[in-house]
Amino acid sequence: METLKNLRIALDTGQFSSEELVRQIYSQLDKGPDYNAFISLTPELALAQARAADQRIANKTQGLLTGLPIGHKDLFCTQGIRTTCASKMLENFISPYNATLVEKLAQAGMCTIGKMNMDEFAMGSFNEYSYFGPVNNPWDSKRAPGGSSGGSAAAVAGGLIPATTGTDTGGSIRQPAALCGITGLKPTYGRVSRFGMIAFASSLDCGGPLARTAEDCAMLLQEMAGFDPRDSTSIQKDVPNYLLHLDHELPKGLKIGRIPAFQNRHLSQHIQGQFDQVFRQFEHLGAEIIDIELPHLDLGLSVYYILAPAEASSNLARFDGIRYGHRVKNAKTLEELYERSRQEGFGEEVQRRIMIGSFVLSSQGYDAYYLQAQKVRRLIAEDFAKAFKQVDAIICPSAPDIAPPIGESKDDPIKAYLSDIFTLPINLAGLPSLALPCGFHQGLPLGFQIIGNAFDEKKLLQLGHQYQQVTDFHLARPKES
Amino acid sequence: MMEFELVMGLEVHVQLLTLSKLFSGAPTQFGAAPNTQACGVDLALPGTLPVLNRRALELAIRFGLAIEAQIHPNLVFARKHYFYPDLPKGYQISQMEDPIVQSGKLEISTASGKKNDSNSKSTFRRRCRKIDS
Amino acid sequence: MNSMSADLNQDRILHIAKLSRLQLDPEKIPLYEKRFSDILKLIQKISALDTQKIKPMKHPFETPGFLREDEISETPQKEVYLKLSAHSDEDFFIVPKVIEEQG
Repeated sequence: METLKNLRIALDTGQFSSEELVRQIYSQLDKGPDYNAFISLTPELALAQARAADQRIANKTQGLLTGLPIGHKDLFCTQGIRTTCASKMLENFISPYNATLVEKLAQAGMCTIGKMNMDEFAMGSFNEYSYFGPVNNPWDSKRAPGGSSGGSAAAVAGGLIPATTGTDTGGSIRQPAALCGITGLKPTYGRVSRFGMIAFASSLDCGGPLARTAEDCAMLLQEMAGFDPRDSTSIQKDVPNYLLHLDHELPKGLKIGRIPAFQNRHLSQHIQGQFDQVFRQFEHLGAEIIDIELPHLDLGLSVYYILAPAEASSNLARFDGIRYGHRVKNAKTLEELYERSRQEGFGEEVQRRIMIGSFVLSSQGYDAYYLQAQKVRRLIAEDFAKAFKQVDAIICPSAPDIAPPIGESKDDPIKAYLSDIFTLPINLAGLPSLALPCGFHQGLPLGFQIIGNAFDEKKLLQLGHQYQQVTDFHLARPKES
Repeated sequence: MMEFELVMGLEVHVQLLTLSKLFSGAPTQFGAAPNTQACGVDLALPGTLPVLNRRALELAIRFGLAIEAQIHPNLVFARKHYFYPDLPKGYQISQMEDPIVQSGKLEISTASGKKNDSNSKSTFRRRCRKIDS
Repeated sequence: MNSMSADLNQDRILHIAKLSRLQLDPEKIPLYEKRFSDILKLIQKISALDTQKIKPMKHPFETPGFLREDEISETPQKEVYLKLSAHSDEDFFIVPKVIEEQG
């Protein structure tokens, strides 16, 4: 599957139409494999959008994304099409409205191919907690693709679709991007509207693009970003032109931070060498590598697994089966209605996190856990703020190891939590980060991330694009199975 | 014989005169039929988000100024959780630590005619913004 | 606070489940105890830090919030919303009768 950039050229030069492209995607999905990456397919909508796009292309009124296909993580509300969050709770929920992000990309002329599989309510690191079954990694179908945007990542890696949307609350775009060998961007918190993005953790959730290249991510971010009056946490800041100057050489004297102690503590021994290469590559591009320390990063995991479940338990309180969603039959009392609907509707990991959340917010847990975690969160954010006085960007791995076999961590949730050790501090600080592929180990992809200061997406995309001009990891494709 | 001083606290819920709701653009007409003025935000549809009504904030501040209260410079809302069918989100968006309006006083006339007697001044502890469905 | 992990026994877990409105399978309680104990060990790592002088961070950026103008911007859609429910009639969402205890 081509990049968005090349498909744009192909559509504009009449090599094929958007309708032909969309039909070809569905035909390929029919033949398989599909990695269980999709929960729903939306051919009627996609074809209608494709035909409208072809009209615009014929009239030469097309935009950058007109006629290009997209898959939406199944927690973005899509009007008239079910949005399940990969949960039995919302198995038949048909949203009466579109998420702002969905609306924006539709207005830009994109064709919605389907809704992507994910960990239930975005809670998971390996896409093993989906009511609709696990997603397979296209590089090795017995292995996990990462999570929670596992379907979004696998579909791009497997060549099913050139780009998808995902969300990143603790690493859920960047970690699956690493495990699947593709590119993914977690924007700054508030850069992309959360209206219609079913909430997991409100102060951490970020919507973003997954694609083959930094350039494709820039094309998508251009349309996704911007203030939304329906989301008062979205930032009222101008959206720069992310594609302009992407090709320019890195500015002289660019300083890139490396966190060697933190990295060595958590990165699997057998892949350390490949990450050294990343820094050498950026030195070759003209950057200066500076070793820095962020002393509170190790506490990020603990802080995250207090705050995220707390916010989740609150955000999921609305799922009671009364106004929508799964409702148990024949409940005799209100309490029974609540307790059985929720117990039946939510999977084990979601229930676990709701309970942790209730615990840390309870009167006995609040000061010791929730309040303390908010304070340590500030310490982590301040570590990053201090670092960005010394460097322009920070590079570190996106995941501590290659993709594990499917099901390996189900008996040990903490092991799964550890998979996000490199990604979740960035969510706590609200910062942007671009994940890129940087090599292989035993045939499985490895990825790193470039972390920036708030609203530095343009710089990150430029750095990523430059890296992808001198490496070819993003061009690798899994063998046809 | 001990004398007792009666201290009475009143919690007064006042609906503000706004066209739309506190956190959504749905109408607030008095006496409308059930569920005809509840939009997606009010029904806590998945993915919906509350956005504060500017006029409601202005009215709250105006009230605070009228009772010589302290107006807090930061607006902090907290979620008060409980489960009940008329609470769609499973929480009330309320104010706990730093309500918008705090302290303040109101002079009232009593039967004894003492207007400025401190006994006839009622004091306001706090005035905070709350939402019910 | 140090006694937290020791106290995460069956009663506490059932209490938390009640707060969360989740009906736990009694046979799974030992597993829940183990899982919670593991997670508690993880999250307790922050308790040692002295954070007395640190202000809690509630949100990534403390930027001025956006305020909505007081206008009616939603059209009535009662039928659409009621249809989303598994149990509703033309006017209401239907729930089991809530019986208050007398006396």
